[in-house]
Amino acid sequence: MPSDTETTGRPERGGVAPPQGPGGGPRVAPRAPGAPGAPLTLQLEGLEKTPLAGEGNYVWRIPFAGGTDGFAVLKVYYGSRSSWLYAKKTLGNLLLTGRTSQMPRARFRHEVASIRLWEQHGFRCFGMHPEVRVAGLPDEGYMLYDWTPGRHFREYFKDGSVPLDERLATWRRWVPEWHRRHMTAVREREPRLIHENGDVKHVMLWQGGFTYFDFEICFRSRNVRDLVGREILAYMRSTGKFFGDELYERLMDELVAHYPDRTLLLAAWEHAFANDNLLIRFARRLDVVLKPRHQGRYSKYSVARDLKRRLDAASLTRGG
Amino acid sequence: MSAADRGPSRLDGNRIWRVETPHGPVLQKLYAERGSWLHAWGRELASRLRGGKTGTRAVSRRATEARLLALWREHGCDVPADLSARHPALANERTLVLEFIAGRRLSELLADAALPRPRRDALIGRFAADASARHARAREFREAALVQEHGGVQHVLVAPPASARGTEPADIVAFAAGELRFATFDLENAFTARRSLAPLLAKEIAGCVRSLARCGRPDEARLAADVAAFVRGYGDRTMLVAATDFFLRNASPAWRAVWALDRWREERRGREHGKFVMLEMLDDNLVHADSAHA
Repeated sequence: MPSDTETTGRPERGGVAPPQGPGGGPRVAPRAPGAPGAPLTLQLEGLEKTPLAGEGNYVWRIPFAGGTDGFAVLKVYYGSRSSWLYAKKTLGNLLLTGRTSQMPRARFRHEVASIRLWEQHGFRCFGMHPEVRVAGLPDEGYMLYDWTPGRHFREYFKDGSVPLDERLATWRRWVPEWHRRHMTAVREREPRLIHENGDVKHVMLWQGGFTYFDFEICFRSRNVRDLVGREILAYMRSTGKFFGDELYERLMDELVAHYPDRTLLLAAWEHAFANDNLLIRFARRLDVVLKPRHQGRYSKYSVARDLKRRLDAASLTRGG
Repeated sequence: MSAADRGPSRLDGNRIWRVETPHGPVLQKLYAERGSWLHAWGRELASRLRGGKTGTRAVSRRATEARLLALWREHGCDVPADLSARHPALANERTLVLEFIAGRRLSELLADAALPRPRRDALIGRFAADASARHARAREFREAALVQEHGGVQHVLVAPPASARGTEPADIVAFAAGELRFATFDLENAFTARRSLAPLLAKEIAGCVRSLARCGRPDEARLAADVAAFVRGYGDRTMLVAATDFFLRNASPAWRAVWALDRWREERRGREHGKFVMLEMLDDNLVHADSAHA
């Protein structure tokens, strides 16, 4: 889901209850009136819609009988951007950056397929209601999701009212789940298990477990180890950006201490500095030199160096 | 300036991480290249062609270590168990998962100047006896991979016996040398099977004796006593004589030239107790022991 605010209706203190269902917690299972999963058609006009997203897709919270707190989230992939912009981004994705298409139907298909794939591997995502039709919207252009009033990592970790130890314990609980997804992605050479837009904005604490969202775009490369490295950098950069230096350092330390496969963590440094493809490696070196923003504290290159320094210090052969 | 700052695209050497698992701690060993690709390939060629050894590239070292760990265990030698099959989440084409042995390097123990002489003799004697038994197996089975390519006390972990699991490494003084685990580690490189075993065994014996001089700052008297303990522990005097003869009285002009060059390098580097000094000490010990016996 594109919005940072769409699911924050009821703040929750994470890290309390043990995981219970796939991905660590029970699925929200709102049902339309009548038989579970029975086809239901909603009329868009007349629905009380609360916008949840900014630019991009239209995402509304709507009343939904049987949904959590009586709500569901309607996401319409035909958003506010122009067709030209979608086409331009699609060209960039397909020809340059190795991602999937930006076109609305393609984003719908990738998001639905990714959610099914993630859930199949035990990672909890927003529950979907494909049986619900919305009159007036194009097929494969929208989806009704469970309203999941959890708490984003971005808010939870910077919330000073939650004791630091509790926040760190939540992080330590999440890190092995993060590793399990990376390991599964590498083993199955499945780029869709990598969070293309992965950062602390797109993970949520909900009923003691973790919930992931925003899967509209996927990578296409089968060099999944490199994609894992990229995702680790993206997440850790976002911890620095949103939580500040002190918490960034603590979370980084905890990551290196508790992420089981250190070689996958090292993939982050390799992504930035030691790509197998010499052309890409050269391009990244140029990138570091030519773009001033890459000299920043939380650029992917700085984060990669931070990570490697810690991995070296943790190694019995090169202890610092 | 650190290596990372000089060449951020290089790992420059292996990494070994301790990983806590539900079944206890294990080591995850990542095999990485050393130096630039030019150095790596140069070393690879030199090792394979001149040294008659297995490859030095990361992938070769990983394969060699996995093979040797299994082979040495098969021959009853104590090495860390390869747990890669039990930990698929940690093992991959670049890593091995190895048993974590809570112990101390033999070199660390021997570097302690306060270690009583009888204890010192017992530890060195046990080390030498283990090497001797392995060398006998190597000769019996004509298996060059049972000869350690860079043998020495720095590659032996001394740990409490398995029956005393949970004992702190610091408490190993409570056990007799015969009860302790002496586990050899770092088996990334091996001699290849095509070569005659005698020179390989001589090289390992020379390496073992020289390693005694690298434990702390030993004086002549301590070293002489250490070498004597090694000779007593090793037992097979024929092998020791063959080793000293190979380096000090080799009949081949080619080998003599190689050793002369090695000796010159050693002197130039100003090494106080280099390989040849230690071999001469070993040789003296063997000659004196022979004359005393006579």
